Amino acid sequence: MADNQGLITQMRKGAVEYCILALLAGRERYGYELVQVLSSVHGMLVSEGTVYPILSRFRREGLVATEWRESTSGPPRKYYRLTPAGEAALAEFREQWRVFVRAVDTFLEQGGML
Amino acid sequence: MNERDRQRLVDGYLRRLARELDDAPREARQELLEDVRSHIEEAWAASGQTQADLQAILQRLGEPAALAAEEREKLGLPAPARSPDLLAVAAIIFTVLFWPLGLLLAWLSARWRTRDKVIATLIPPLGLALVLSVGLAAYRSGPVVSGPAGATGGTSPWLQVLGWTLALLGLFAPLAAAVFLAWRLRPRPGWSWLLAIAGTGAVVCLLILVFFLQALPNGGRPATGPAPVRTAEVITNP
Repeated sequence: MADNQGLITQMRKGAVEYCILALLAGRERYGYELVQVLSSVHGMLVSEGTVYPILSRFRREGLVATEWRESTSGPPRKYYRLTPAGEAALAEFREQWRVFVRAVDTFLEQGGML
Repeated sequence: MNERDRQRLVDGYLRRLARELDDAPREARQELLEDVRSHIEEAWAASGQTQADLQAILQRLGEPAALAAEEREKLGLPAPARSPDLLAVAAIIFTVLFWPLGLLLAWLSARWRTRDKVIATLIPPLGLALVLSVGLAAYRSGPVVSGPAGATGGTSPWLQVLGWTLALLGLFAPLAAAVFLAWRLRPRPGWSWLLAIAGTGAVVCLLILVFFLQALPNGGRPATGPAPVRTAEVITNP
């Protein structure tokens, strides 16, 4: 089912953006660290590089702020943290996602009985 | 794996990425390249530092084209065309042969930004204007009306040299426009493509130049008197 695969890809693409925002909730992280955490959960990232265009867009849209900092163990790192706008976007998605998942689950689990 | 081989692989990856984003705003391109380079350095430092490790790092990052496509989508840029298409190549060649047609084709093509089209369109007329004004100036300061060199009654040699240099530059203006168009093709093709396009243009232009110089009665050598004016005629006649 090629269409199904395309839908999953689209959903993952959309969801991964909010997973990145969620990973930044309450703490700052550098890019490679974000990629590592996302990759550690199977099925979240198809290619690691795609995280960076997303982070750039967040920065352009003011959802995250960035800062380069020296690292003790290697090259300088660019740290990302949520701005108030980023926190608001995450909170809104969190709310809508719960409603959406509950709605879809309702049909998936008891569709024939409704 | 030695440092030089490592740099070569990393630079090759980043160069392909940069080429795919040739028409993206410079800051966005720089930012992505910087982020990806930083990622590679981090991953390399944490790896076993063999060639296989580096290849795995680059493979996990994804194909440069795929990564660039992601960035282009975020920036709202259209997908890039793969190689110079027939329209673009025809535009470049015709700019040398007969620049009004060549530039018309260039305007029909989506392979150039509007700014580049405007610049390319301005080059031949400005070249022509340069030749005409120099020719006119040289004629006025010639033997008929005495100019700065009027005391001796002839056109001063440096003015002739200057006139001929500018006239030649003016003659080459359509070639300059063609080379400019080849250079500004988006996304930028490889060097071999640029050289092939510019080379073809240069050969054609040289042939035309040789043809016109031979057609001149005195073989095209700068002579005293109205020579610069003759150059202006050469430009306007074709």
